[in-house]
Amino acid sequence: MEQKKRVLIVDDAAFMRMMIRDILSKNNFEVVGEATNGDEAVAMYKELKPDLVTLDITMPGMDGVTVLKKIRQIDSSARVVMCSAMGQQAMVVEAIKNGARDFINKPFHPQKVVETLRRALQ
Amino acid sequence: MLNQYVVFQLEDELYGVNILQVRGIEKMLPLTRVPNAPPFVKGVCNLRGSVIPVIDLKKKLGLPQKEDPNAKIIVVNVGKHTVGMTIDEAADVVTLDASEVEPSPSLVAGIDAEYISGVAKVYNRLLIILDMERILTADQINLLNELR
Amino acid sequence: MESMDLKTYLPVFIEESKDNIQQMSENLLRLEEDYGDAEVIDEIFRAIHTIKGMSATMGYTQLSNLAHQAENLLDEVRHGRIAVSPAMINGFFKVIDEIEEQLSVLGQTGEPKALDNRRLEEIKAHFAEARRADAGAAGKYRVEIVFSKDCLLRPARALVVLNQLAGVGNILHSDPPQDKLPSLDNLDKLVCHIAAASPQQVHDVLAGGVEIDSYTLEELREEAGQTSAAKPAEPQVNRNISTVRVDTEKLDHLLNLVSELVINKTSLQEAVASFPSLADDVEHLHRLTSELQNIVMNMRMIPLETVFNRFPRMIRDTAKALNKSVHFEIVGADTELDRTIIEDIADPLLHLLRNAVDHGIEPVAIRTSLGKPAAGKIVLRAYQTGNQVVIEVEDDGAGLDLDKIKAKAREMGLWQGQEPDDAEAANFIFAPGFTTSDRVTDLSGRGVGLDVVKKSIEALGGNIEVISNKNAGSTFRISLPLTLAIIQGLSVKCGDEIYVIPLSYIQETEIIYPDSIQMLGQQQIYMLRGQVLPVVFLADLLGFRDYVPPQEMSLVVVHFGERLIGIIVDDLLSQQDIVIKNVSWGQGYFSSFLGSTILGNGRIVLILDINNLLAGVKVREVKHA
Repeated sequence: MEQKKRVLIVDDAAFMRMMIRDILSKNNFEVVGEATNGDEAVAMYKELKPDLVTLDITMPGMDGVTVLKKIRQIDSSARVVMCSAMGQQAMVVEAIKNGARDFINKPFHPQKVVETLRRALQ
Repeated sequence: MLNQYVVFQLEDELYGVNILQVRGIEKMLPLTRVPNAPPFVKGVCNLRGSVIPVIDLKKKLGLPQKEDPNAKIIVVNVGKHTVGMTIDEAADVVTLDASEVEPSPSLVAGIDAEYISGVAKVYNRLLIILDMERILTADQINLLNELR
Repeated sequence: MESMDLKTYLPVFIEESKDNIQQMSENLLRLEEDYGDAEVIDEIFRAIHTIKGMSATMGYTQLSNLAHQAENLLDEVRHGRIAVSPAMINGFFKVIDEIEEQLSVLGQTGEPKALDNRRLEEIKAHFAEARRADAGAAGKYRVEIVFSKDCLLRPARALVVLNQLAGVGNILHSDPPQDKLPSLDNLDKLVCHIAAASPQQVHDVLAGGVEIDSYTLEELREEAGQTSAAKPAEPQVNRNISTVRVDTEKLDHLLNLVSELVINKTSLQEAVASFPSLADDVEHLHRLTSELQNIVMNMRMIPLETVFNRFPRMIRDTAKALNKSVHFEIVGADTELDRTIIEDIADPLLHLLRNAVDHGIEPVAIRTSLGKPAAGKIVLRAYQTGNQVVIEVEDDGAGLDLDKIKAKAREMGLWQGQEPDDAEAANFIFAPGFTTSDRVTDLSGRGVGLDVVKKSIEALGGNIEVISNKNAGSTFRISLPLTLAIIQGLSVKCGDEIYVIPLSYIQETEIIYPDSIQMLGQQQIYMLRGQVLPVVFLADLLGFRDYVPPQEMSLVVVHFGERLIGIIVDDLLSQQDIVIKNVSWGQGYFSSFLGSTILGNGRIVLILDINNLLAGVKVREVKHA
């Protein structure tokens, strides 16, 4: 069997983290860590070297795009998928320009999330 | 039929709004107050270049008042109109089948049943689904007609 | 209103389309001489593009689809993917034939006809051949991607797809272009040309792609011949075209952008005090912005005739129903107004005109007994004066019964004490619920309505008055601002807040001190050059609690109907162009304000509705004291 892909979830809302974790663990991903803000995310990335990061765009303190840049500084091949809410196109575009692989929209459709993450890992 | 609801908290209760009516959730924005307006009109704010009124949802629903430092604004679209409403906690989203939504009892959490389109169980808690259209139009319709 | 508007444009549409067709024919003939003439190809492209846009606006979908197909083919030529061929030129001539036929039917019947199917088949065959004529290329593909219905943030999605495609090939071209995507709000589909080693790689990216509903992949053929070095795809405005039809949404968007610019300019003007070296540049910017603003405003202006046109029929029907004889005249229908105002002026005018027929013009018997012509006369007149447009509804009927109005007004508590003069009395008819009509006709209802008319006019920033002479008739005069969007305003400070007073209300300003305000009865007054001026604190009008007036205050003397009233504020801040932003909802709650504006620093400031604010203030007694 193929090795489970290791994912780091970054989101300030516990509810959102829970939802993503549920979706991922049901679909053969391994959630290796959950960060609640940018600083934690960067530290955990260094430590865990996950295959993929789901990164919330709006968080208190360091915002998603800044976190993305920091992670890509550490690892230029980092695979990051942004989590965005309605009306955040400008931020999403900014993130894609800065190397985000893809993005998923809240509200999350489990199937779309899984598809997007699988493709991002290819 | 599946519907999605943006869920937020007011005091201790969970409330839901159909996601189709929600344009976004914003941090508290600087408000300009509007003299001579009803007390539940908290003011107007600048949402990326548009001027939208902000309604104090707790006041409008007749709930007790506590200032919440984490208050946010949920921006809803009703018809052609865009209105902001203050809520306590950041929003989440749930998907519910129509069969999971029950008609509301006459009075929930002290809120006029007129404003409620149904209730549902989410995470073992009661979710009160608000009818934004009615909340906004209840006393506006007359005023607007008068202006026509 | 919708269909009526479009009908108005039909003649222009036909005329312009004919011009474009004519040009297209000429250019096709030139193209036949020289297949490689890129300039001619561009000209044809522009012509067909114009026709496409115009017919889409007019709602002639079939026609615009046809033009769209022709445009697409030409676009591929312009991008060097296929070459001009006899089949292509033949196809285009067929397209021209079809459009010409459509135009002639439209001219005769006003309605489009179904396209000629046989001709369409021929066109299709020609176009298909034109595309085949260029076989030979390998490895270049045209991909057209349609995103799923529920796909949010499509431009961002398109960017992701382009990134993924770039992983398997070389993106040659995309529509919309990659750098335009971030600024788009939405898009229907993404078209791109990609050079890839094998189509399978492209399929791998797209098949089952996230939020991709469907896609097509076709191989592109290498261009034969020198046809066209791909030119930038900007269709320029054709000089031969005197008018261009523009989507009103785009106009609104343009106005919004200009408004933002005005706001920014204003804050620059404020900041320039600290950077004197920039003064000239800012002054230049100011001139450019003003000019731009004027142009945009002018673009939004449409003639009143679009509204006036519907009235003759209505007058005729109303008069007939009432057994009256009315001669109706329209003067100045070419006067132009901002389209947002025009849309809202129709109903009030309709009301006034109906009233004129119903209550104004007397029955024939009475008219002849008074020695008046049997046929009554109603004139609808529009003209511009300064920054305002005046619309008058004038009739030569009975005039208002002022005695009856005065009596009724007294009954309603609209006046007491000294009797109002005639001019003042006439305007009581605009008071809510006012009616003197003895009989109730089904045409004008129960006399309800003039207060509504007044409110609608005021909501547009205008005002209405009536001048009446017994047995000679009445004239209702509506004054409207030329445009709603930008006004001159004075910003004032009151407590911690800032408000704007429209300059049009202001007579003058003065600095005053608390001890110069006196009491006369219940009314605060100020002696302005020996005249008694009733004054009121803005803080009181706005219901401020715990307001403490400063030692030095400012008095803004404003017109309120025929009177002058002083509004006391803390301080005057600045006079500037104010871009009015309507509040998105709940106008009913904002009765004290006309709207709002956003300052350079993002702060919202409310614009005072002087009429509504002062309506509640009792100042009548003072005038006669």
